[in-house]
Amino acid sequence: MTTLEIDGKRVEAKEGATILKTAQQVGIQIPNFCYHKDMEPYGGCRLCMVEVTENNFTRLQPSCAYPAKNNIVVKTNTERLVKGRKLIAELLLARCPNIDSVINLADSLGVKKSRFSPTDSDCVLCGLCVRVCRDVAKVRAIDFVGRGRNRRPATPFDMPSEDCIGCGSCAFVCPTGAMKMEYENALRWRKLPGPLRKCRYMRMGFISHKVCPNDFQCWNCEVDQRMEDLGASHPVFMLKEARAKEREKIGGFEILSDRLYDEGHIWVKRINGLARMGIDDFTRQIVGLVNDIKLPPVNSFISKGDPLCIISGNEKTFHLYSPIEGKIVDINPDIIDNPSLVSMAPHGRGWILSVEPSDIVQASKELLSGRSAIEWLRHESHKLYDFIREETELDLLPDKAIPPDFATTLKKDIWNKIDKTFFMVRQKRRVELHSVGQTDPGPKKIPDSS
Amino acid sequence: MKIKTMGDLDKLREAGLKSLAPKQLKISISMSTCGHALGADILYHELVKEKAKQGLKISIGQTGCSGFCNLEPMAVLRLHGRPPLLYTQVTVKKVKRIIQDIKRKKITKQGLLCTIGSDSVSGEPDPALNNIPDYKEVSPFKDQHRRLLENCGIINPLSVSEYVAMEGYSALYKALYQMDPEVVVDEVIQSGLRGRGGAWFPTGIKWDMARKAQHKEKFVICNADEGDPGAFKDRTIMEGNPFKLFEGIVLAGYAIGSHQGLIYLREEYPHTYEFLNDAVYTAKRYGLLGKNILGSNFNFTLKIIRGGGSYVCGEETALMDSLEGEMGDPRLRPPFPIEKGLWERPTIVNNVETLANIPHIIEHGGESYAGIGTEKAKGTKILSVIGKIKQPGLYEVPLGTNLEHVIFNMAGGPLNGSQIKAVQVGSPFGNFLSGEKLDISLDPETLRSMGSMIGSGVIVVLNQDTCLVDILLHTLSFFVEESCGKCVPCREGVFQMKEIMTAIYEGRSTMEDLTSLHDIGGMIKDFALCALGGGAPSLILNGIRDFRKDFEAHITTGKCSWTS
Ligand SMILES: Cc1cc2nc3c(=O)[nH]c(=O)nc-3n(C[C@H](O)[C@H](O)[C@H](O)COP(=O)(O)O)c2cc1C
Ligand code: SF4
Repeated sequence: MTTLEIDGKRVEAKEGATILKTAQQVGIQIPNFCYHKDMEPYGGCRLCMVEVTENNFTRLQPSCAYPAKNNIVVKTNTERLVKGRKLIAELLLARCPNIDSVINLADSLGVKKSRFSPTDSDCVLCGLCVRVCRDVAKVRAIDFVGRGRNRRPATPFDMPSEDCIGCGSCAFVCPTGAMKMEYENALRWRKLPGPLRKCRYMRMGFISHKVCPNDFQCWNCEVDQRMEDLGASHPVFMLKEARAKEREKIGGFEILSDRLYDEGHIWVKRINGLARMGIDDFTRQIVGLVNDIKLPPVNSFISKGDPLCIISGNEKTFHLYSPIEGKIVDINPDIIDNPSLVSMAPHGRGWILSVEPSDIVQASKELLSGRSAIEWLRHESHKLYDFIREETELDLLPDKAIPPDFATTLKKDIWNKIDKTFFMVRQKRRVELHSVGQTDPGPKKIPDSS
Repeated sequence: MKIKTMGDLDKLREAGLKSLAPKQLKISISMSTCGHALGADILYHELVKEKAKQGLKISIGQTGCSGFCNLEPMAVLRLHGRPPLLYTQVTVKKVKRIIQDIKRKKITKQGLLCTIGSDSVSGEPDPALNNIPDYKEVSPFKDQHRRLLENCGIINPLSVSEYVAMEGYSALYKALYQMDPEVVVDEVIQSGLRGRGGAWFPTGIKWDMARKAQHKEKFVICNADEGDPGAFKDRTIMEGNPFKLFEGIVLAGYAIGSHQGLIYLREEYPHTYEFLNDAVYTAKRYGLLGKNILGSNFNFTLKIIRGGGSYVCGEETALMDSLEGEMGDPRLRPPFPIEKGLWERPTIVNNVETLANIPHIIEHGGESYAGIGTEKAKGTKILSVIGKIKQPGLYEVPLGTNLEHVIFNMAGGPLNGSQIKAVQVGSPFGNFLSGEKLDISLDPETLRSMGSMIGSGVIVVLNQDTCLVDILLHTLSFFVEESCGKCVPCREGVFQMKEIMTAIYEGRSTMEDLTSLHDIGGMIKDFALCALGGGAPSLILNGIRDFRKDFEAHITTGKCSWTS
């Protein structure tokens, strides 16, 4: 188990986590600009530098990349750091005096104007466009050219790139609006004959063939919008998973590429502006068969960290918390009748409830998807198996399903520990929940005709 | 012929000794890059023509650079029964005269610098060589401790036999047949050798970690990017004694369990590239590279790769990016190269000079190697002394040698009796030391305690005609030019420092600008990604402290009192 100190707090870090991620997990925000949660760290902006004391030796390290090691002491807000970040903001402001995101960033660090000689650039050289094209889309249509201040992202010889698939992810990740997809580039594909003519989802590799009702005008495509809604991000970030398999098993637990995951083991899916939630496979396997579920009432308001449901099965109870804030608009009627549905199809018909989120974009940003979700689940599975090995007599192997009566075999105190370590991470307050059937006997749901 | 046994090696040694002490007159012209630049190839070809025309019974050979390029082309004359004679600044006319004189049993004195190793030839003192000093007594070789450069300019760099005659390849033979890799690493740890590329990291420790790294494939990279302005020691080793470097590289491979080596060669060394490829070819023919080296079952291949042509490509992680075909941007650490280096394999990167030290360590043992140097820095260091100095060139001295001694007694002091105003040790990052404070020991610890560094050992001497503002601005321009642009502090920060310095230089500034320089310099030191940006501010800030007069003159009078 890795424990470190961040700004005086003892924090437990996940295996392989960076300082930045670990800090975020306990609510410590570290400024950054070139960091992206679904990409490899770059370490270019240097805003996320923190003071790391290791073996009695203090050094500045980029928290986006530096591993959260055992027993290190991290300080994120010393005078040296604050002063340095301000200077960096001043430098960025001198480079891009007219770019909103840079102005806002500087502002958030308390910098209003720069004393340095300005240039009027619209690119901060964060490298996000180059990295998304190279590492995520795996296309490499653009790269940096030039050195020092002459560095800039470009296609080879500044000619329209033959390799560009027109996915637009570079423009999507660009924080300043400097990177633009050329309209012609998209048009280029439309001019191609027959089988060579592909829409951008075909070129990204999501689908193998398509009959387009829009005459391959991707910008009129309604799938496009839905895809972006789905991932709360550019579809390219779901690409790797889409290419591999839609459903993957990580450490023996199923994970879906079209879901966002919360660290309290709740999945979220955006459907028509609502956020639908359910328990993940990890929870399902631990609980076994669910025979009771307690839920908050419909139309009530739920905050982040409020109880989402309490499920019981195998003589044990489980507390799950909402990762999203909003009004509960819908509760899955089927699970009220048949709570075991939750454990039979946790990702599907066993969904729990839907909320009308207050800020879905912000909420989605904080959830895990794609690579970060897989990483997280892998880590959780390691943690679980370690836990089982240490705390119980069971001899379980990773990647083997957990026996259905697992929960029954556990002693109460161990059970509570599991509940606390894995599921109560989001808990903010205790609210009594009731079995829906008991508090709201109301009219029993009458099945639709048939 | 492949060398397979000790017997083979002995035979080769004999052949080498013969060619180093030939029966008939032998003239060897120094044919390195610097020699070429000063007409060595013309000289060589004229000599060949002359030989044919006159039917001369002489042999014509070549040597490498000995580190004093302004004395090129040099020629080594080998007469039977006499120590070799070293001539400097040889021309076609002079060579003809030398040959004529020899026919008349005379020895030309003009241009004759010294004899090389007079003690190696037994017998009565030679009256013809009266008053001709040995090279150990004459400037610029005097007081040097030539361990790495001992063969440079003396042997034919492409002759395996001559290198073997100078004890070459006995270390590799010893290691392959009598030492386990661990023992090799232990010797290197014992020797206290530290990297000569600038960071001074203990080489043995690096090797030990790389040896323990679990991977079937590992790499040895020899960093021959030699980007430090004014440095030419690596080139001299490579062109003067390439097999010594190869031997060191193969030993490194054996020690860490790697079978592939790469020399990342500075792009601006085209001649060296051709030359090293010839050397690799020769080494393969002798079984010194390739399969079953020296008849053992150790295999090792070596490739020469030309660099990306940017200073930052000498930084080891940028270097690996460059080798992978990427733009040379420094990587984040961890992971360190010894865990995940080139193509994510465990990799060691060592400087040419570092690796050239290895054969000596293995041959004579780490303890013996550590016999010279300071407490924390062992062995010798090649200093590239340049600037306003009488005899610029390479001076190999034990670490801890006094800087004043090097400048005044070895390199002849400042040019034309001028005054030394400042000396930069460790260009481009080292501080400019005031001319009055040169009584210091040349070793990394002393320089670090002064807030500076010894770097790769480039010493730049400046006299009183130099304006420090001008020079510092020039140095800053170098950093701006060479910044890769990946991280903000260096790309934007060093640029803004240069803008401020330009304002100071042009007299458009106030004293407040000095505070700005301090603020921003301090930040860059802490926040930059690699040592290029991180190292840039110190010398400026220290320059302001130590040469405040120059700055004040620029700021208050608005002009420079030195350059008009
Ligand atoms: C900007 C920069 C340039 C460098 N250039 C060189 C170089 O030209 N040659 C070299 O040997 N090391 C150079 N280095 C040092 C290397 O990163 C590395 O420390 C060295 O090759 C390690 O070898 P050593 O341990 O034998 O010194 C440079 C470092 C930096 C930061
Ligand atoms: S310090 Fe300069 S050279 Fe080094 S990574 Fe940053 S920008 Fe590149």
